Amino acid sequence: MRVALLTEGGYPSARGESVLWCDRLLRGLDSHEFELYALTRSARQERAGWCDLPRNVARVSVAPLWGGAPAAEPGGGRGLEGRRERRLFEAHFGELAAAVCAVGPDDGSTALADRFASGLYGLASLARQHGGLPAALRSERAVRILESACRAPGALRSAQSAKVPDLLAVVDRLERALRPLSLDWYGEPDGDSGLAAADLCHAVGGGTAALAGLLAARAYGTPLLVTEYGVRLREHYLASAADAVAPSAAGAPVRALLASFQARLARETYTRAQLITPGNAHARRWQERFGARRERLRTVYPGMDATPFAGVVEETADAAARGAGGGGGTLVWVGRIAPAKDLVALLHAFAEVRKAVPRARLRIVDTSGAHEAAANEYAAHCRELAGQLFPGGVADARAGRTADEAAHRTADGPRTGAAERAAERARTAAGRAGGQARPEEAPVVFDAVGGPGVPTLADAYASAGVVVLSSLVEGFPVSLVEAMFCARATVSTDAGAVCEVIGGTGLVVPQRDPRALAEACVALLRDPARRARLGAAARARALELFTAEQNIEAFRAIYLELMSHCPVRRDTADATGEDGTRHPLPFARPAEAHLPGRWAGTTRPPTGASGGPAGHHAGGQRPPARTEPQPGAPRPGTPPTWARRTGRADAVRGAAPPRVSARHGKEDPK
Amino acid sequence: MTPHAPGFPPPPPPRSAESAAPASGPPVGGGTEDVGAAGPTGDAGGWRAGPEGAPAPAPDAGPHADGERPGGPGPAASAPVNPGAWDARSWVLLDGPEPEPGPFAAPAAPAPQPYGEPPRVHGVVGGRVPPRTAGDATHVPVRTAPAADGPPPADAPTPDAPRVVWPEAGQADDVAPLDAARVPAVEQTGVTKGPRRDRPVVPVPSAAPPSVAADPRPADGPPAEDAVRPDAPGAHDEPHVPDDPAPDAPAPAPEPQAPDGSGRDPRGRVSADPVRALMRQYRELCERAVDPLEIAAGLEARGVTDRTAARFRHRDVFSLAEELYARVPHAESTDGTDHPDGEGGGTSAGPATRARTRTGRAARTRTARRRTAAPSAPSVPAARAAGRPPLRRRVAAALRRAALRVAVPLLPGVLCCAAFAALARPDLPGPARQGVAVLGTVAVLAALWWAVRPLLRDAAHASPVRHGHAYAHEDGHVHGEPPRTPLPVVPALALCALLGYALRGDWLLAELLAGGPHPGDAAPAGTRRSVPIALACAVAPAVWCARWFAARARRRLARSRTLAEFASGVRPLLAVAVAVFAALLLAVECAAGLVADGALPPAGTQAATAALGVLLFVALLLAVHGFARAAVVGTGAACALEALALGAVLAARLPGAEALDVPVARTAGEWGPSAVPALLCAAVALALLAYAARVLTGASAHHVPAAHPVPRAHPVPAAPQGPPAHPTPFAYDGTAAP
Repeated sequence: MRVALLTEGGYPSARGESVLWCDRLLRGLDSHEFELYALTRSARQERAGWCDLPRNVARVSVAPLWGGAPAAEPGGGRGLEGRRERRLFEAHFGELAAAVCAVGPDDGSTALADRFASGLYGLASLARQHGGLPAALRSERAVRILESACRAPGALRSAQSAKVPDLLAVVDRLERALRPLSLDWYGEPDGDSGLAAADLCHAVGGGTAALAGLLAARAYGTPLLVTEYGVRLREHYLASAADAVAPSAAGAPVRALLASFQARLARETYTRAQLITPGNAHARRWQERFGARRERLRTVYPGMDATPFAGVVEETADAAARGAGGGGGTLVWVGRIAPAKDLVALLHAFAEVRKAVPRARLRIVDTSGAHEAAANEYAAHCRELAGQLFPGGVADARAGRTADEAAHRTADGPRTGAAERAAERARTAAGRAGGQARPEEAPVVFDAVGGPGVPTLADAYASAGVVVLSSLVEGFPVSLVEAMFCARATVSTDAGAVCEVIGGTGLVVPQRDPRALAEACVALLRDPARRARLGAAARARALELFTAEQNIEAFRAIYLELMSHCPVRRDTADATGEDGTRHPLPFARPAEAHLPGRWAGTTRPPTGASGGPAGHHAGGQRPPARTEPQPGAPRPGTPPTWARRTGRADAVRGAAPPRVSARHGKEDPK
Repeated sequence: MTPHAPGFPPPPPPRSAESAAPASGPPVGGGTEDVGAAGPTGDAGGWRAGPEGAPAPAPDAGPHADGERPGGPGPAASAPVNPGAWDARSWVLLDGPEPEPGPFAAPAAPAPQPYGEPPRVHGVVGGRVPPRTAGDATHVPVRTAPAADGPPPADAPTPDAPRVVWPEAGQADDVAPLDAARVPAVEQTGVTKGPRRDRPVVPVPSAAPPSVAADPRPADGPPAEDAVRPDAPGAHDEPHVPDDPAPDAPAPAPEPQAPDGSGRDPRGRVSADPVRALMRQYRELCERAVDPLEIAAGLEARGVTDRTAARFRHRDVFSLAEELYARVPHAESTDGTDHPDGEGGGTSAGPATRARTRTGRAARTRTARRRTAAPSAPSVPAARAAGRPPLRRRVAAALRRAALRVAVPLLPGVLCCAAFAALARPDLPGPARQGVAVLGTVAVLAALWWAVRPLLRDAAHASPVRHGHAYAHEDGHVHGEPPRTPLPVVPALALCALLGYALRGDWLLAELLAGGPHPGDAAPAGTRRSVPIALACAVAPAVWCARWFAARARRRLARSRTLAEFASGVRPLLAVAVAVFAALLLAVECAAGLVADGALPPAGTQAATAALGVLLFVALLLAVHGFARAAVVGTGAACALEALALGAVLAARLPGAEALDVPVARTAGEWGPSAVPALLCAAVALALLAYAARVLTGASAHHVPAAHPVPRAHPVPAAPQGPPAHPTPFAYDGTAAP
């Protein structure tokens, strides 16, 4: 079936968010045909290029959310110049502005949400029929409407103090956020291109990405699936808060209004989506807060590749069979050294652990790149602290590297930078700490992936007895999941999604409590049997929940379920009743009715030529939506490969079924 | 007490809370196995006494380890059942070597403090720190609190023991999504300025906090954190507000064993308001927030979870954020109300920009004051200065720009005068004269286009929609194609037609009225030299007046509160601009007439030229502010009307249509042939002016997008265009470990 993948600032651009996950999804679900509709956030993102697209991506449409609006269509409609259109625009935009500016209890009251929805869909229909929405949204009329909404009695307090530049900035951003309304992605009803032809809209992230899906759902009844790993609204708030201290900060009214708009949009998205899949319970809370109903929420954990760690498990099993203790008394910490990871607490905790377990060792493996690691002041400070706490010697497998880099840099020129100071400090700390201890006997070892002690990440876990995580702030703890794959017992602080990831197969301690952390580590270090039990349980749990395969299978099941429960309204599939009214005929158009590729060489125009309100643009100016058939995908005129293989290049669609089942059967064992 | 032995003491009793089966489906807050202090009461004593043979972390720790073991009421006898008491003793026992201070000991450095534990700066390692400020004295009574429990250490505050400084809980640690370079140090550490108040964190012993009824975890963790949390605000108070720590000093009575609630003030008493500490800690975040959800997002980004919120008697982080939002007074969002010369074209910019622009002005609000004191403010201009070319080059560039701005609009007038001067030489042959005339015309028109083009380009910057270019000035770099202002063909033709009529139209009209241009008549070439010279020299005042109007309107925009106010402020500006231009044009024309022709030009010519000039000026204003269509329509209408007048006169020669030329003939007869274009141009000019008065007083005509004022060298995140695309800890990216 045809699935429309809607992204914002993500796939397919190489610098996007969730790029790996999208790529894995597309390659894993290669029996479906995907069409990408991407919104880019910045010019830099566009210039960064695209990832390699898999074969089942038939079409990619890209539109910018940055910069100026697309130019007025040369031959299109008159835009919103007519009086009737102007009045409609004023009405709809007034509703939208009133809903955005008003203070509303955001716990289920629907009056404002309804106004927002009616305004939004009204603007969308205006854009589809007449076009010219961006220009109208930036006009004086829009600013005046927004101003009157801000001065209305029920408005937000900061909105009431909005000045004219604030209103202009808000109008600017609103126009950008509502740009998907004016795109030509939607196609004609019963058409064969655009979102009208998709059987399912899969929006990666709420917010503007899902806006196109909302409109398709409203116009054609296409089911909308929203997947969020980081809640878009939360990211907006964080960016807004960080923005407030930026030198070119927007004032409070702007931020308040934009936050209100995003909140309403998120609420509308969660209300209309058929299914919402948060990545973890941490994201789920936000979605529930904004009106997502529980029966529509389904947590699908992001998948990770478990194959690099299979070798570790076998080694451990062998070693256990041989009788040697696995990992001994080594605590391992893996990750990118950053202040949020609270390595200081870990070092203090390890000091305690070492008193109880004298042969315990701590290994800190840095997975950030060499360049970042060299300039990491926090890492240098941790190194110093370790040197102070453990005068028995701290081995730093990176020290040689950083010293070399520092030497290179001084050779370049007397540039004093933070990186150099950090390297200097590292070297002096190493000197002060009594020289380099040999890594085998040093209590604390700083390593980096790719270094001499840790050629691969799996080796880091292989050498571990217990894997430790002492973060203060955490999202989805990737290092913990990797440790679970390696069947290692874990001790971690309660941050982010750690609790639900661990789920009882490891120890969880409160944050900022080195003593508790130490006690937990000691308890595990002294009990190899318990370690093995926990490790086995952790591996079983990880294999069930966190593998990439389960992620893809979950989405495959979700796709089929949505398709079957919420079929798209297609007029050709309706039956005409006696009195001439049309009734939907169930199963008239099953999922296999559309197959990727074309069966026959067609004389139809290529799919990218659908006329829409925004039209197409040639040459010079940047087009609002760039649609191009994916080079790797079958071109619109060529039959699919397997049709060619069987020699029936001109097969008719109706004669499909035997080959379809064979094809599906061929692809099932994946 | 378990016999101590070097090496591994006997393992603790097995715990029963392990769940070996993986939870199926999405676990909601899954079964957590937490290590509390309930367990290790016995064996922890064992392992604490264990490291007899282990190398002591520092020689100074030896005496303590020795000192406490033989003591009667050692860990053996009083195997504490109270986990808090255990905590208290651990403080005594766990003194280790103090880490040397690194670069993070000085919090006032411009580099942001990345985390919450800088070791204290010691003059003498191992020596007791003399109380530097009043606040330091508090650690004395606090320090003796645990002494009441176990055996007293050598002397009350162990003067010779180097204290190990635990990471201070309750710090606002740095947060990954907030770029450290952008967030001031205030936000990151919670410490505004001054040396760090260095006290070892004392986890005052406590039972399970009664407020957290549903918390299944033993109280070791939460009270430890709570107990230290109130200390943190004491450390975080600004030095000039020493109210909290100072009164504690004279109240040294320790209350270590009192079971406390989930929050204590530094005096060690139960606080009924645990959120107050949180308020103080996250004051910046709460003041800046526009929404409780923003506070919630910020809290989550700093590691506050639902379980932490439970400690503050809230169901989850959202309700905690709502309370914070309700209680913390917000920074006034009307900081820039009365700053008449704020940044042009900016929004009500954040206090940071204002603090930079108003260098000499005293900040009004505390937030603004803190921002000016924040190290980010001086670092930003420093960064900008570092990124920019040196001062001399910048000054040179600015001078060059100013010179261009002044000189280029004068060029058409200069060229026109030069051409006429060349034509006035009597020794020039005929073809040469024609050549000079043609060349002069072309040169003047080209110079006119060159003078006007910068105005149009600036307008294209401002309003990409109106000018139809997807051009973004973002990140300090220019993206997309720069706005090409293509040569506007239709307006150029209209302009040429109008100018042609201004030069020759009167004569043509007179000839037509008189019965037709006779081929033998030579055009009076040299009589009306004032008109073209005046028009060419009027380009400069036109450009200058347009620029002045745009600049003043933008400034007005930055400080107006409502659209009506802005409109009423801009209307007189428009009127003044037009009036000044008209006056200058008349003056220039009189001067040109005096210089070129030796006499003042007649009134009719002056009127015609003035009307034409005003029409073109208003059309220029409209084009510059994005209403090019209206400008084209206006000039085209004027052309059409003039052509209509001539055509009417011509058509009157047709039999039966003699009445057509009556108005034209009568006007020309009464006031001269130049009255016709004067009236026509004046009418069109008035219509355009009325339209401009309605349209140019709107705010969207003067809007400059927010990304524009950013200087090029300054790395500004793409925040105006949307949230930055870097991964936050909550975004899952397969490669990035969060």
